[in-house]
Amino acid sequence: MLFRDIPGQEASKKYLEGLISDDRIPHAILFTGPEGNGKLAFAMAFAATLLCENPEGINVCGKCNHCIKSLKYVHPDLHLSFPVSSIEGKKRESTTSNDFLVQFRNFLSEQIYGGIGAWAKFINAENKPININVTECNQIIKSLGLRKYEGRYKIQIIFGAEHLSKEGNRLLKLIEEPTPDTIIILVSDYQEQILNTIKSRCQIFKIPPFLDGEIDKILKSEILDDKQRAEVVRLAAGNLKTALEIHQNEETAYDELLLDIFRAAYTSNISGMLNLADRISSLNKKEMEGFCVYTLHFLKEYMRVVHLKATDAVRLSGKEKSTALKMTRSISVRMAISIANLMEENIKNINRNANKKILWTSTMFGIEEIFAKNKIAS
Amino acid sequence: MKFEVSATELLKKLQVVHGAVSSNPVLPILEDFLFGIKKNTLTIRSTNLETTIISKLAVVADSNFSVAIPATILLNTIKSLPEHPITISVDEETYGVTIKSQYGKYKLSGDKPEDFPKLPERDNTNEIVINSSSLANGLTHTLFATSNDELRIAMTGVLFQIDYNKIIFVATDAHKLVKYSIGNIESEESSSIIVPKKGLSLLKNALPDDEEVTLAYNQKNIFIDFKDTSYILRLIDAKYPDYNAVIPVDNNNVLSIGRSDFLSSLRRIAIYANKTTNQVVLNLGDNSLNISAKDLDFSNEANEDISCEYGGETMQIGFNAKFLIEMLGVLKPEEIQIEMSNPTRAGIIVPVEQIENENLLMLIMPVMRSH
Repeated sequence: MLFRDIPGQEASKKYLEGLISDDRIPHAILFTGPEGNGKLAFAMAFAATLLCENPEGINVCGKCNHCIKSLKYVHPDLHLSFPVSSIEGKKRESTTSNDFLVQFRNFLSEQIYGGIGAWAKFINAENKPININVTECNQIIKSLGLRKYEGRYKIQIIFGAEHLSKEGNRLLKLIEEPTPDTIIILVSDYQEQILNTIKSRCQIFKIPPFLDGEIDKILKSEILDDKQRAEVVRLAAGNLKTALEIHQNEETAYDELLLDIFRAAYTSNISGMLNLADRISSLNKKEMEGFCVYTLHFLKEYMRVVHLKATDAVRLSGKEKSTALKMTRSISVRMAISIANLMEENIKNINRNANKKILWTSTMFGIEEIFAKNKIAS
Repeated sequence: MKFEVSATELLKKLQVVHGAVSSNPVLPILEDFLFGIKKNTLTIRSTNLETTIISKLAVVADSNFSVAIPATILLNTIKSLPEHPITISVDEETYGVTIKSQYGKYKLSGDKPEDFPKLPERDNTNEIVINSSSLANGLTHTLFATSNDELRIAMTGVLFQIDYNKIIFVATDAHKLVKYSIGNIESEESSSIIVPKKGLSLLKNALPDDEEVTLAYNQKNIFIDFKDTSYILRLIDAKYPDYNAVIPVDNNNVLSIGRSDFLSSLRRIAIYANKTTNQVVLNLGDNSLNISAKDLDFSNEANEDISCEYGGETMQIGFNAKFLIEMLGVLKPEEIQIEMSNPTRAGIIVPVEQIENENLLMLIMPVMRSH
């Protein structure tokens, strides 16, 4: 990944270029910001630039020995660490990034804009816990403990830094005061979940979401139909990962499900509600979470429909938009907020491994209650 | 592009070079040997980025070329062939490798030699020449004392301290310390480097007897050359602790003892020591030594008297038996001395007679006595 392959994000690129030209590259830097803003791509491109023999500003020559290797992510001075799950036939505590390196390189070349969730899916670990364990931390200390091999710097990239649990504290000394020419790049979608002890030792660099125009440019070659492309760009809301997912038709059809739930709850159709609860309970954890996130997104946009009336700026697809317009008559903003609170609570509970069936049955009745109360009030 | 070589000759070299090939490497190309042919000399190289091993061998070749060949397949093939000349040919474009023996043909796919990591540069090096047996001595006496604690990365290696006319090897894990000096060296500068133990253990096993070995080092690597083999080890990037500060001076209480008697006595006593502390107590009196151990949890205890020479103060000092046994096991001379000052300070173990031009000092920290 090179900077010239990352569309737009000029301000962020300029900032990094400034760091290099002023020779004040921090020894520990945290790339963060919202999901799908290309932070992993930024980290890889930054590493490639630092390793290149004759870089021009932020751009690499692309020809030298170092560039050839860093483009394939096989540079001996580029160390990669990322959260992993268990694999069969190996003890969990001795499983390290090294066991998943081949997969990670494929992930980098195929889905560099995907977040940590996409990585978990890539290694079929959606329902398994993933983390960066003690052995990996020791491995990092060990590999950075040696003198650099052939590059100008030795670079450690830690993807999904929020998955460094308390064992991450082993790295504090290293992050605070590494040996000369060592650069540690942390990459995380969830800045608030990173250990404070680690975060306070890094320079935090927030990358903003992509602009609509930038996403449009990326998709230009892939979606020829202007109207369709505009739709995708609008839905993505600056998240390149979402944009690519929608484009690859990985859009999960939650809209029907949500509408069914509203319909059943509104008419107090108890058997219908129970059936729906069963249907959602059959999904896996990540999918259920996805459904909650979708509902939150829908409600947020719904409120814009109610308030703005100007439906052009709303990030909903055609069908969703017409549903939303119809709903304005029966669902008030206050009701929408109550449902949103319920969904937020659900995400928490899902992550705490709540019983799926109880959770969703309770949610159904919760929504029904919200509707019923407001009906009486009106 | 092809060359002819004797299978056994090649096997010997491959087995040496194979030491640096790891089974699950960070870079895919590291599963390969790099073969380079220049003027009828075959250079085989392998690396795990920490240790690089290079070996040379004369062959009959039709041109100069290089190729990367998967290590395990090649090694296993050559291993199963009897002493006989074989021909290895390489396709110029696809890097496909064909091995021809008297029995038949074996084909495997090679890799682009350009993908192989660059050979570390030999610039600004300082060179010293040392006898291989002395070097092997230095390594055997120090390697076992290195630490496994990654949090103190400096101590996971052996310190090579080069002075103008001597080289000192130091290893410690904070419980024990070994310092081995070898004199009669000529160096143009005085400096010190830390070498990782993994590569050193490989090197130790490959060192020949009584030959000249060249050690060349710079800020990044140490290059060790002997006969037609070279080892390149990447150095540890850290500062070694000031070890001289922990070596006590003024040790007036000197115990002279036979090493093998002391060692076998310790081995017996250690069985009765507490399993977590491994503590044994040396009870020293006028020309008498009583070794005892107690495990209060199981009410196990043992003690032995052994003959020795001791003229110092009467005292009781506790040591970790495991460390003591390890250290005495590495020592070769029969007559040794343990020098102590008091029960709270380190004990120093030295052989009574040092090898010419070499000087060995072992240090062990005492433990708080529980009985």
